[in-house]
Amino acid sequence: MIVGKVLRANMRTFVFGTRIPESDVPTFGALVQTRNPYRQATIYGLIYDIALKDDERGMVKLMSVANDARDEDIEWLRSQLVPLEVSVLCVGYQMHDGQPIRHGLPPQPPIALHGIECCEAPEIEAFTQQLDFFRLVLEAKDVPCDELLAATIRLAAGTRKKGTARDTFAVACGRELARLLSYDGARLEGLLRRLQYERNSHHG
Amino acid sequence: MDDFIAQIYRGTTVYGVLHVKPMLVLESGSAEIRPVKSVPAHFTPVFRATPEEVRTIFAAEGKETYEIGASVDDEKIKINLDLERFVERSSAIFGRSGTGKTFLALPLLADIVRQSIASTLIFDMHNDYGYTLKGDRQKFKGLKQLGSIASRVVVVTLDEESSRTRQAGYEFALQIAFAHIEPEDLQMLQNVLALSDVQVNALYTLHRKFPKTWVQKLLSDEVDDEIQALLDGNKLTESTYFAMQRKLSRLLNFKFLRPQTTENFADRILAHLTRGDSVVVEFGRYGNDLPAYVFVANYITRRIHAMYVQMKERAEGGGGEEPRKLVIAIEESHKFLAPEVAQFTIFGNIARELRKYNVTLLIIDQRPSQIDAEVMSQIGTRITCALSDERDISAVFTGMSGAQQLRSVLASLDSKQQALIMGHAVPMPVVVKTREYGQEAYQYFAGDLQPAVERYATNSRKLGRNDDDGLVP
Repeated sequence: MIVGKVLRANMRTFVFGTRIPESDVPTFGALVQTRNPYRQATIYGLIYDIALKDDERGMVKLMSVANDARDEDIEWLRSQLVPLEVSVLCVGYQMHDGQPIRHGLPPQPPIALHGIECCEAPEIEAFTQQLDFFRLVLEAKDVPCDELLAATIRLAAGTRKKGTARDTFAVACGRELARLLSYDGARLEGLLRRLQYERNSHHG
Repeated sequence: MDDFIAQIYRGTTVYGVLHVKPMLVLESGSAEIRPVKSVPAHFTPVFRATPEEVRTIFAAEGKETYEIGASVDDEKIKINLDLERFVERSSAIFGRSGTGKTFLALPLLADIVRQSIASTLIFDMHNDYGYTLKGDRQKFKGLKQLGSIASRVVVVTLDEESSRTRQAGYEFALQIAFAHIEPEDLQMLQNVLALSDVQVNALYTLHRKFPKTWVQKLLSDEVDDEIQALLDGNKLTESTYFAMQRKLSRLLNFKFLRPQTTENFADRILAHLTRGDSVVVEFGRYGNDLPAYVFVANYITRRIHAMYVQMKERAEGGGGEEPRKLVIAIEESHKFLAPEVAQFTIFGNIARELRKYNVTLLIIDQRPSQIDAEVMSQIGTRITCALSDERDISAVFTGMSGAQQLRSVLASLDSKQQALIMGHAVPMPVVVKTREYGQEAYQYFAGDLQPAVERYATNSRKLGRNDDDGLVP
């Protein structure tokens, strides 16, 4: 399902706009994909920001300062599908169907107004077979890297079967983080605590 | 720590590092072991050496070897010493008291004799090598009771009374005539008897004046005319003379020192050694008397030194045969090889250069730190049992390049039956579980007559005769 279209893009990030109902908007940390048809490349990215925009008529702004806004007016305004801007961090690409997924920056950014799709569980599982994209996330600028990675790992773990497969994946993620953050024990510990918390929540 | 977190940290942020020192190269498909000259390339896989490889390295095939023990990892893998190389240079057995140095040295020396690698001269301070070796709870056979070498071992005693009490047989009692003593024999006692330099010089003066009777005169209670003339002529001060006399009067307690003897017993020992026999000098009760031990060991060894140098020079000149290799085993060797005396003593000399003359030392000691560093650096093979003093552990590695990494290995040895062997007689340093000395060793050293001896023992038992000598059967 197309959840939005590309508004702007650069090599590392892109932004798509959406008017779908808020309940259908993919969540922080989710893996999405789009295509660059000129390069026949599928580009994968992680959602790291979701911004609520004012509607074109300025109704939201007016309503937000109105003293006597009625609940039914607010509900009506919400049903008008106020636009959202969703920021995505590029973490991988696939040059042609059937080719292996590569973790890294795509050869070109996505093109404007191309559709964005949420990845389904099998695609998430396939993408997270390798964890090389962790480095891209950890080194990203102006991105809540640690939170993003923790959210992504939680979502990816959710695509695995409960029990050993999920535990094995969580440990593999932790070990990759331990390798990448061996120089920063405090940051590593914070991330591992997050993983541990998520894991215990699952077990609970 | 939570198991999940532990699984993550283990092998990533926390891990052990094994330091491996490249030692040897064994090309696949080849049995030739070569010293390593390079290091493996990065990411070369590391495997444990297989039992076959370890066996190949320590088998010393085609050489005259002594099986000193087995690998601590796999007791089926036997570790052999190359005996030719062992006697080629001075060697040492170190270990703190009670770690089994004597139990290691005795069968090793026995095999050197059995294989006729060299003659051995053993200064047996505690009467362990000749007839019986005293264990913690039982007695073991000494060299003279090992069938295959018994005829080539001569036991000499300094203390006949002790030998009789112990019922230990001996070939002859070693006696030393005053006339045969030289100042150099007493100089070794300088520290032990607290002789000053002036007093040592006075010994030389006396010897120069009275070459045959100087000891007799010195130890006599009366000052004869000749001595008096020396004192009157201020060639010797009275205080020096009497102080020297007082200190050396201790020699009068040594019953093996006699005004006259029927023959020169030191020459008899030398004759045995040159014939190919091995000699054990048992000290009896003098083993606890350090001056006696130092004096006798120095006295005999000085003469051996002189004779071997002479024989070697004669052989080089085409006038005789090469002297047979000789290993001199000394216990408490730091008394002879301490830094302050090593450069003057005959033992220091042997350790440093006498291998050229076919004489080497087997140093048996518990305080390697008290041995002169220069002497230590000349030791070819070091067999080291457990040591506890840090200085001793450091000293063991003196003069061995790159061996410092083995410190931790040495520090972790068991207190019994484990030894670190390194140096000339093994291809690479190795920790061994040393062979137990007992029934198996007796079988190994049993002579052709052994079956008959055993039959005799069995028959004696059947006949009710009790000739139990208290030894382990």
